[in-house]
Amino acid sequence: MTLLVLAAGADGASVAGAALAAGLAALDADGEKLLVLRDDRIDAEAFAPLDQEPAVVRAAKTFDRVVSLNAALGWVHPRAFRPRGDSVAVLEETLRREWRLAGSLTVAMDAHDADAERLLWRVFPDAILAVYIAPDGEREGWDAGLAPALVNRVTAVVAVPEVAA
Amino acid sequence: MSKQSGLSLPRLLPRAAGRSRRPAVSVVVPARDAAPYLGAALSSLTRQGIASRRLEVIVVDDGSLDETAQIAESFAPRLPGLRILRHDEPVGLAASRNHALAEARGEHLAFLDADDWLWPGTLAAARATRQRLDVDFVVFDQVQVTGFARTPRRAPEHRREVALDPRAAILPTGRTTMVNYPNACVRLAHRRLLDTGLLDFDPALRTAEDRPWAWRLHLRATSFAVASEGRYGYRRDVPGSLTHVSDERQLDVLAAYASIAAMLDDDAEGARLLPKAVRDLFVVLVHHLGPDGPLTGELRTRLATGANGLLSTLDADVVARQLATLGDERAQVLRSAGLRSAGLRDKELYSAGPAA
Repeated sequence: MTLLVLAAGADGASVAGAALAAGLAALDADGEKLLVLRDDRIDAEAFAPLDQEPAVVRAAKTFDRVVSLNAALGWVHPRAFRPRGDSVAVLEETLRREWRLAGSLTVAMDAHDADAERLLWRVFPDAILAVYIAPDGEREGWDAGLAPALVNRVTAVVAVPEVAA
Repeated sequence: MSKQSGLSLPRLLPRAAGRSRRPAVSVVVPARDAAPYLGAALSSLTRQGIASRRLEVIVVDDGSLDETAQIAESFAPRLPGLRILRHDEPVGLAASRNHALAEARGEHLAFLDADDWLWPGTLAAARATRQRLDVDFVVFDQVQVTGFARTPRRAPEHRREVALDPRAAILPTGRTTMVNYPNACVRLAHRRLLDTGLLDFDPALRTAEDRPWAWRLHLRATSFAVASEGRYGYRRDVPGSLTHVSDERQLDVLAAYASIAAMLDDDAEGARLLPKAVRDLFVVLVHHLGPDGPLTGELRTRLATGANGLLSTLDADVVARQLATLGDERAQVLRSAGLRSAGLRDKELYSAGPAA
């Protein structure tokens, strides 16, 4: 089993790290844990990769590996990517190869990010899904706007009590 | 042997040292009121795979009223080869680029507009390709960016990493070719093109300055290649960008094509290449004069009048033939806008004159 925790930006990485300690890690105690980083800046390629930022470096210590969704998608911006039809299977194969993913997956994402992150839920149709809620987030209503078929796949909702500065 | 080496060292060392003093690449960055974007542009230059001491970055602050100069200065620690040239009054993109070119010391020249950015490693990849093939210039791909939406625009020449004849990449007439991919910013050139005057821009052109620039490059350079790596991020939704101006500066497209026609007049193969220039001019006119075009009212009339004047100076047979291949819809746009039939063979197409 492998746990993929999706996060956007340096702050998102901090929350993801705290979510791991708050319960996500228990979903897959023995498996590899990956932080999947997304850089939402329109001109993300112009800047140093997020994994060089201090907050991400700190958060990365709680994960086995850090991978970049931007790098995996090439010229396509993650916020504009909407895999459809046959492209889903191709993308799953590509990401599994690129990120060296084997076997079954658990995919966790920030509740605030539900809409933007749907693509990975679609890309890994057999994955177990989880949601984590940042300290300032609402526990209720995170699933608003999501297709019921996706919501029904969510097996865990983890509230993050606090994020270390 | 050892004696020979000892004797040659004093001669060789100063020459080697002299070579290393020249920057590997000079990047020309014209900037006018570019504060919202310049940081990203310059940041991207710190990630080009070229040692910072060998990268010369020349920002031309073209009379900015915002914090462009301060933002540029803030990059001095990260870009030790940064130089900032200042214009008290704006002189325009072409003249700003020329100013920087006159100051550039690099072995290679590249351009970056202040609201765009380069993908990591692009300049290193283009430079490596140029050096390996010893071509005059290298072209790389572009990504057009509107918000989060991105559209790749690949260099029209599909052969990658091989030396090619730039002149052979101008045709065919009816297809998108390298002169239809004119952006100077997707090219890295060897200094020899600067020294022979092929990199300067026409300062009289306020828009479309890249078109005659690219034509001249492809007419007079001797070799080029398309790199398989590297991308130029081109923002399409920048307020005030020259791409989107809808004032009289757009009329300079006529002067740009007049310049191209003059080049072809002096060229031994001009007759063979003129149809391409004429067709491209028609396509540009259809864009500008069409229902979704940027021009309205008096500017449309002035563009049409100017186009009539330019077309009347060109080979009438070529003009007629290219008009005939445009298709009814495009021809109707031109007719509606008032392009005359003067000198054209296709009397039927144009005999009706401007539509009401």
